[in-house]
Parts: sequence; structure tokens; C-alpha cells
Amino acid sequence: MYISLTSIICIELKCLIRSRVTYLLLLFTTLLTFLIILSYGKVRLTFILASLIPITSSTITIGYTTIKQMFHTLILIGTPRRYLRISLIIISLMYSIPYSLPYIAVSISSVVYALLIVMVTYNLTLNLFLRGVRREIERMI
Amino acid sequence: MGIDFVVVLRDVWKSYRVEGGGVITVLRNVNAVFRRGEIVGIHGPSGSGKTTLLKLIAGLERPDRGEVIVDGFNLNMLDDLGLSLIRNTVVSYIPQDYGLIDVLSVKENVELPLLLAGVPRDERDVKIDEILSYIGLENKKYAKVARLSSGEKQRVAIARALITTPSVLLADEPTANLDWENAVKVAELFRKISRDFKTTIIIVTHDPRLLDFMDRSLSLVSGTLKEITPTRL
Repeated sequence: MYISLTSIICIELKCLIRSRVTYLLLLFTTLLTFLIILSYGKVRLTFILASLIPITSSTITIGYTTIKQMFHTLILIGTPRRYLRISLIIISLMYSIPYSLPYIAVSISSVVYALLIVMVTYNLTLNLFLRGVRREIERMI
Repeated sequence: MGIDFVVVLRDVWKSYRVEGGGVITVLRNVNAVFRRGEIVGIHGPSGSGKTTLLKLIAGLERPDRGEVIVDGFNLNMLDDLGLSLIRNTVVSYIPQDYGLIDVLSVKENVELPLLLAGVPRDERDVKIDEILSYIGLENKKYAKVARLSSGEKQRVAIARALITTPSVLLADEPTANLDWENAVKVAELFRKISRDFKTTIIIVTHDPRLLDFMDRSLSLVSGTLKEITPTRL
């Protein structure tokens, strides 16, 4: 008997890909790429910071139901808490990569900044959801 | 041959802290045994501790005192990983809101526990077909859960709970969102499952009519469990 961490990540990715958040992220990333290219790399940290607002708000408003159901189900079918935390870090890294890549037009260091900032923000957001879901489960179940 | 007890509760106590610093004792000195393959109803008013009892058996909570033994595993002795494995293989829990993911299809929802356990794809496909056919949802295999009726969602939740052939199936108010006609169908399905799979089914309900479908019924009042009907076994 074992629990597969890879499977947890696959389930989470499947749920996130099916939610509209992903499409919004892709749209936003495409727009960002154009802006960066059009400005010939003159934009740096301001864009990275400004972009956190739509990322976080889109995740909270549109993806909340899906993310809540995903965590709820994963806990019920036997996902250990430790695995959930590890999977969140990996998911937020995967989420951050496509977002950060357009910054290659600015500099390598901008890619790293973007990667770190988005990863930390997304991870904190998901962790916040997870805590909320755990509290809800404690009340609901 | 001795009687095969699948769930044993010994002197179980559970309290919660409430806002303002007080403590509410939800379960007091609960002692009960559940046999393999029997279907038991637990009836009681809101706030009587029914769901807490299910949470303890599912390993989602730990008792303050006493022992919870499920299929030979003393849950007090297990860590988080151990309890997770129990939830994946030995005990299945169906919450009142079904616990399904709306953006996934019926097949994908039912598949989740097997994915988590790393079961190979071919084996998963066979099991899913078998269980959906048993539940009567083979024609809804690729339908999105969000588009199903409440009765169909309940059956998907049952299929997901059964896919790992657990020893114990826990259902929290399984008929709360259904009309009486559908509630009877679900209750009859639970009886069929307990017969065919030899699964111990524990159902928490506030609807006394549902107790007619049970092998025996227990009443939980003020945190104390009492037998209210003689066992049919």
C-alpha cells in the first residue's frame, strides 16, 4: 500500500487545467509577452508586481470552487497532509514557469524574479485555500 | 468461528473547544461494535455528535480518550500517513455534499482513489467499468459531474467510495438532498452493496424512515450511543 505523490500532482494539474483560471493565466501571459517585447525590455519589476493582482484575484474568484472541491476530495480519499504541501510547492513552480518565461526579453534575472514572486504568491494563495478547506471540512464532515 | 467485528469503539470521548474558551463534550464513553457486512443507521438530532463519530472512524479526527479499531488497525497508533492509507483502502467516506469535483467527468472522479494508490491504467479501466455498471451509470461515464442530478451525483459518490472495495463505508446524511423516491433507491443500493461486497455500511441520518432499511439502528443523544432496534443478523 502506498500513496503516489506524482498522482496527487497529476490530479491537481488536471483540475487546474479544467478551470478557467488557467485560460486567464495564458491570456494574461500572452498579453504580457507582447507588452514586454513592444517596450523593448524597458519594463521590469513594476510589471512583475502589477501582474500579481490579476493572478491572485483570478485564482480567488474563479478557481475557488474547483480548488476547494479538489482539496476536499483529495483529503477524503486519503492524501497525507505532507504530500499536499509538497504538491502545492511543485504546482506553484509549474504555474510560475510559463508566466516567467516572457521576461527573457528583459533579462535572465527578471525571469528569476518573476519566477520567485509568482511562485511564492501562488503558493501562499493555495495554502490559504487549503487551510480554509480544512476548516470547512472540520465543520462539514 | 467468532463474530467478525470490523469497527470497534471502546470508551471513546471527544470534546471541542468553542469560542469564548469553553469546551463541549460531543461524545461520552461511546462503546460500539459493527460486524462485517452489516448496515447500521445512526440516528440523532443535529449537534448530537453523529458526524464526529463518523470522522473518528474515518481517521479524520482523533479521540481525546478511548480506542477506535477499524479492520484490525488501531487508529490511535497510526500517524498522518497511516491514517491516509486507511482512508484510501479500508474506509470510504461519502460526505453530505458528495465530495465530487465538478470539472471532472464521472469516470475521472471515480478513478481518483485508484490514481492515488498508483493502480496501473488497464486495471483502473476494468474496475471503473465494473463499478459503473454495478451502480447503473455506465451511460454517464464521460458526463461532467456538474451536469448530473442529485441522485446521480450520490451514485457517483458511492461508486468512488466502492472502487477500492473498502471494508467500511461511511455515509453522512446520504438522502438529505434527495426526494423520498430517490432516497429509497439509494437505501436499497446500500443494502445491495452490503450483501454483495460484505462491506460494513454506517449511515448517519436524521430521517427515521431510512432506519427501516438497516440491519440495526443506533441512537446518538447527548453524545451517548444506544441501540434502538434489535439486530436482524
